[in-house]
Amino acid sequence: MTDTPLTEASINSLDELFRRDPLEMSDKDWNVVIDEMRKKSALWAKIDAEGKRKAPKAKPMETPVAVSTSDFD
Amino acid sequence: MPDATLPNPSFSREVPGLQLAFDSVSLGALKKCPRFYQLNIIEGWAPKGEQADLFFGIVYHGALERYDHARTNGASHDDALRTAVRWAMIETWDAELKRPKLVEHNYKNRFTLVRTIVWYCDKFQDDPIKTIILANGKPAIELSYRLELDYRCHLSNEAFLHCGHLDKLGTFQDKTVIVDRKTTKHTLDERYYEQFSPDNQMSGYTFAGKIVYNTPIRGIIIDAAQVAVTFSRFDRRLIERTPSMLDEWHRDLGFWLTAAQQFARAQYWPMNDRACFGCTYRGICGKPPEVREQWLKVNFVRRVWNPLETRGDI
Repeated sequence: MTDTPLTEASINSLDELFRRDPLEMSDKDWNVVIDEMRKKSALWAKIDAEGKRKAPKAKPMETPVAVSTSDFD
Repeated sequence: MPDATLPNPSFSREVPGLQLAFDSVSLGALKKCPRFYQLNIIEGWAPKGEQADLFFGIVYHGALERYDHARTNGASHDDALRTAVRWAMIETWDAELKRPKLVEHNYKNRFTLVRTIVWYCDKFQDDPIKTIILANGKPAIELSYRLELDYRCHLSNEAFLHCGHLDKLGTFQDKTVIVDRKTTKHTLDERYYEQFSPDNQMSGYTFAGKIVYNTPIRGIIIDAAQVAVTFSRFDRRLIERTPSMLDEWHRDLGFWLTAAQQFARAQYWPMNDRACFGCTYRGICGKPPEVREQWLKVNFVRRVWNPLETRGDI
């Protein structure tokens, strides 16, 4: 496949590459697939780190308090 | 048994219904429940969804095998990764219908497969587990083995075999380890790893690995990949067996093989109705015997589970 600006623009979509016959894909296409997956990895690492940072710390177990049945009258 | 039981080379020709070559899947099926074993292995009924799960695992393993081979042959990380990804995408493409395969599942689909391959190879490009190079110069990757056991069939004097397929033999902290790759949708926590001890597959691999490769095995490293909708996560854990545990597993194996012969001789595989929780065939076994085959034909597909089939043909 001849590389032209129009061709390059048309192969940027990961979805499109996943719908394409892999035997017709070029090295450039494969690099796009891998690079896009790496971008997702970097994004996920950020989200994961943020999630861990915000996760509430476990509270110490409280002593259970017996509830009188009169509370439910 | 149904009339058209699929021929399976791992079974005896002299004793109908007696499997001679077991792997961890078929042995595990027998240990779980003889009726489960009859349906799953002897008659070959597989749930329709199993195919996608298995296929995902097979392509994941195959892609990492190709990555490992390329790196062993001197390829750079990026070149080896491109080889692996290209292979996986081709394997999951239906050339006749000109469309992708493996698209229905929410977790294990073509996209999450390629994502998992890329993220794994990037994470472990400088892997602390070093692949062993065998005497023939090839890397110890995707090794199929058949180990003749010291148990023989009472009825026909045929030998029993234990078959298996090791993903990788490597060294870690100067000790030899077997690496077993797994994909799962579950979180890789303590509960996930609990299932491996005791475990038929881990014990079988450790037992066989020491004999087949004539080397002390430190243990098996579970090389796990959690495959979720939006991410993949990786973790490794060493699973060990002492010599006494392996002796016990081997002794137990003798009893199970005796049981297999008894079932085959009687042509009857009883139900273990205490093992039905989460069982694939619960909907079948829960119906009267006279209607079960009709339900099997509707909800299951036939396939041959043959432990003698080797992989690792690169």
